[in-house]
Amino acid sequence: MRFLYLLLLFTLVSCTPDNNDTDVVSDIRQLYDRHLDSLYNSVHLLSETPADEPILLKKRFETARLHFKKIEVFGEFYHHDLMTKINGPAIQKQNLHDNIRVYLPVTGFQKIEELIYAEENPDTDLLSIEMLRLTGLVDTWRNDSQTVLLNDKNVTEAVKRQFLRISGLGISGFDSPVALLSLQEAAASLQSAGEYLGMMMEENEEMNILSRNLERAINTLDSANNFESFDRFDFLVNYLKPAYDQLLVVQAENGIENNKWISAVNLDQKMFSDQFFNADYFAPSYNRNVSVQQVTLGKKLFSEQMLSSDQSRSCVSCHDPAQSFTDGRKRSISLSGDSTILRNAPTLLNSGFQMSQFYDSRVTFLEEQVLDVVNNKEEMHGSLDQAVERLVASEKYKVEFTEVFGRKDITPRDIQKAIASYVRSLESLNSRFDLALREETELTQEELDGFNLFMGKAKCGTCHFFPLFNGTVPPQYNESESEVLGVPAQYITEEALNDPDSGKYHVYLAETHLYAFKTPTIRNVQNTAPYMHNGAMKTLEEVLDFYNRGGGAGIGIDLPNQTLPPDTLGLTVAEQQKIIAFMEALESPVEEPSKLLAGDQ
Amino acid sequence: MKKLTTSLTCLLLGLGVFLTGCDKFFPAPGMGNGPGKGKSVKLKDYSATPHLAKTTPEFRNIKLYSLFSSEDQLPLSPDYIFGGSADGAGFRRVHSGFALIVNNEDNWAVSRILFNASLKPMKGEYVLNSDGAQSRVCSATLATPEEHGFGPIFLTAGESGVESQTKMVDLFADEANASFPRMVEGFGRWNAENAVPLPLKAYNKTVVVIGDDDSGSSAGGQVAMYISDEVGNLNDGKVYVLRRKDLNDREMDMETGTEYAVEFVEVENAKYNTGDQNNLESASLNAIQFGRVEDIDYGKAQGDENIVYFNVTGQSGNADRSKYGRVYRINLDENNPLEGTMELLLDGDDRDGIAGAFQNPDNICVTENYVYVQEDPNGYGDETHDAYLYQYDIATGGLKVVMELRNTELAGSAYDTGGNRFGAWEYGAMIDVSDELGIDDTFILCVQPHTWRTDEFKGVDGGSLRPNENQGSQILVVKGLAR
Repeated sequence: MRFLYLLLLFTLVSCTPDNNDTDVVSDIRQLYDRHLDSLYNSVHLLSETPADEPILLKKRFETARLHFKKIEVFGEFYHHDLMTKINGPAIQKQNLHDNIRVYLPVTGFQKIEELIYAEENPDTDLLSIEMLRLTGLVDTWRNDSQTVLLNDKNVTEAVKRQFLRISGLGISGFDSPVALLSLQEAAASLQSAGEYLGMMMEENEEMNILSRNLERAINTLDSANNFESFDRFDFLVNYLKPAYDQLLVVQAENGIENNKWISAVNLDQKMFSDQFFNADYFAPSYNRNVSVQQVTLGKKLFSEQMLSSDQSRSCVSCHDPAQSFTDGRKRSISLSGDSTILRNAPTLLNSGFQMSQFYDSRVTFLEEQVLDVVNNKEEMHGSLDQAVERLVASEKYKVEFTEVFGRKDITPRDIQKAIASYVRSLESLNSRFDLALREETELTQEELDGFNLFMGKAKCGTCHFFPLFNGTVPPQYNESESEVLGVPAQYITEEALNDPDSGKYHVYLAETHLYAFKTPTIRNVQNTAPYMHNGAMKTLEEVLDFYNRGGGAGIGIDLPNQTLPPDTLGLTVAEQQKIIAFMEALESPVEEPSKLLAGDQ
Repeated sequence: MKKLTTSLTCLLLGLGVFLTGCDKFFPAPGMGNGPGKGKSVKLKDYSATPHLAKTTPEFRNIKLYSLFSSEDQLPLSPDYIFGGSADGAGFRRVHSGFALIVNNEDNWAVSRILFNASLKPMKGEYVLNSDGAQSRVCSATLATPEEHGFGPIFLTAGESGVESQTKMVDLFADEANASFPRMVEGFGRWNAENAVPLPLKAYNKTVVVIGDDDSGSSAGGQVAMYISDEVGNLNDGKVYVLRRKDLNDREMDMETGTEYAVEFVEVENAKYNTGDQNNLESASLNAIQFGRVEDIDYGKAQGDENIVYFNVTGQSGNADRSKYGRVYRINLDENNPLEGTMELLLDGDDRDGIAGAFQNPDNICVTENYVYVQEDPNGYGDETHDAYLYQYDIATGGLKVVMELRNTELAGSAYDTGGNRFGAWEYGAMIDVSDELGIDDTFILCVQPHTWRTDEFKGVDGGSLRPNENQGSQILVVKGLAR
């Protein structure tokens, strides 16, 4: 009997997953486990709530979400795929690589939120299935959490990313689109982050400052009157950023290094500093850490007419640096000159910060974009082999390519790499808005109001994510999203006709992508008119009007898969003007290879 | 030392389950006595479902048998319904008949089917349900004591994103434990399609080749390898990734007819890294970034145990990687699994080449003389046929089409509710069961007719995560296909 007991004990101990946490973080583990248990219990309780008790349902839903927010920091860091099931958008998605069968089911909190907040009489069967499924997913999380490594580096990085998540997704209402619980949830999340850090970091003056910063941020969130009127700029600059930046100080004091891997955000930089983003993360592994000479060569090739079959045009023909790398046309003129190409020429500024290229996301990297444009019959109708033949005839080019690539010959791939690295260098993240974030200048009240509307009432920030304001999803920046807006062929506000361009569907043939287009950056947007993939909207006023009406759904276009909420935003004309004023503050001078030069030195 | 004790204890516990499991799961009624070598096995259409695949004229002498499907009721488990998308599978003779353990990929579940000595399906049950599997389960491998030095353990990889882990399911696992996963921590987190142990004979230690079915832009799919000097220890070994010695990590730079010097380089701390970190580390090590590594198998002829074959299925929108799919072979050094040479055998991206009809190869089955390759079309819209099963002749390099799924032929019937589209169906695993059955040139082939959907097949696995999954699938026996 005693032997059996010993065996049992031994078995329990020895078969417990060996999670190899360092001692420093064992307290964090215990707290994480406790929060996970609370989350499990709260979703379980939610699942037992009768569907005909809406008030109780909402109350329990809110409680469960607060528990979730206390551990989202680790859930997202260690179990991102699972988090998309637990807290992903309630929008039908398809696996791009298996579009015949793999519809990714919409599950989790946001699905349940849609049922209990948006519908008067939710489908009770559906609701109970979804609540049960959420319970199962949280149970999965509980199991899976036991086999991950909590160490000081990971915890510190996870907390930084959680701060970024709050800034880019949290305060815009991205994951609480109907219930609008985001502010209190951000407070819960910061609260627990402070607890985790307090268990890991030495108690000293710097840590005290960090705790105070967090406390102030939490108080600001807690005392917010309502979701719409919350002053997001004030929160970001005066509360969240100081906490983030202070974490860097505390991290250094505790001798905690950053993880060694490349990251979209430079984890050693202050929040939103001019060196915060790392364009190399978005580059293919064979074209990173390029030389200034390569970028310079790329710039030269960018305006090299040898790339087009009849040597009549270059990249510059449609991406004019003087017009923020656009051509100001609805659609660019085709090579023959007697027609236009399929779509509008987008700006290339900050196009490096995307995980897919072209409006229809048909290529991943800028390197392949170069090839596509050169080969396109309407655009350049050339070939890189032909371009190589022409380039090798020039002694000057031969010397330059040899200097850059260390070989005597020129290959098509060299051309792709050079031009792509130039385009990737076209960063423009020093606008007045950016300087104001760094407290180096001030915005006007109108601009500030505009930003707060953009991130709140107008919901712009739920797709154009702060602070890049493109569709690449923070804080991992692994994916660039597309949206179905219902863009009209011509902008009229009644009985408009849908633009027939099928967008991403044409490439991937997945039904959910019919009429989907990649979310572009809105930086430098006042210089890039006309707007949308087809240039249908001439002014930003028209764009704002379109969104204010609920996109296509508001102007007579009925697309069952529209991803933009079809309701009107209720923005006044004055509010729309404020948003435009904010967007104009995003104009930033183009800094050509300067960043690279700085890096090389 | 502590860890060694740990795994031994776990192993003993596993054995306990094994022993009690045998008695419990093989009740006398309906089951024959021990099968004589091939004598008692009777191949026939035990199922009501028509063959969902057909042979090409050149292979018309091959016999297909419909073994069972989702619409069959099995005598000892009247309530059990076989799930959809049958994929990775293992088959083993047990004392009173045979056992098939098979993934139901889209149900996120693992079924076990027991047969009597004639190979009549008698009983089905879920030994892992969606709560236990936690992710899609794809190809898989039954490791056996005879061949791999440990087991019988079904290794089934998780393929729901980069943070997935491989799970192990005891062949005799109790149905009551179906919600509780046993993770293989040592392999690390990958978006893996399969984790295939090489035969013990190859290196006299446990060497597992892992295929990362990842399309992510930052690192793509890797071929990883787990090595433990202690046979059967899946927890404490080291993890490596495949790279070319010239450090070119771009898949599309490889061509047929060239041998590339390759090595497996260690991913330090792989067991504890997040899947994302394993990807980032692989990229920084210049690991080859494939367009989704699928199934893996090894040479079956005497002395070929160190030869690894694998499929890459392809992806669109990334010109650095395969689009239509490829078949590769790695000849690992006889004395050192970390070194070798690699060849591209079949190149689906060369649309004028012998594999130019490829529509995304997925599962693979290697025999003494052939490599069988099964398609799973990605749905690019340019499909010209239903999924093929190819035979690649190792000696001659010739490629033939053996079978095609009857996807469009059955359009409009109950088996295709999806609207008559080429390539909507795919194959699951094909496994060689000749030795177990005692009948030469005999295989079990899984068919995933993705458009065979009905409410009766909905949420059958017993878990809570896949309540709306409603596909059916079929298991065929193939007889007379040359090994």
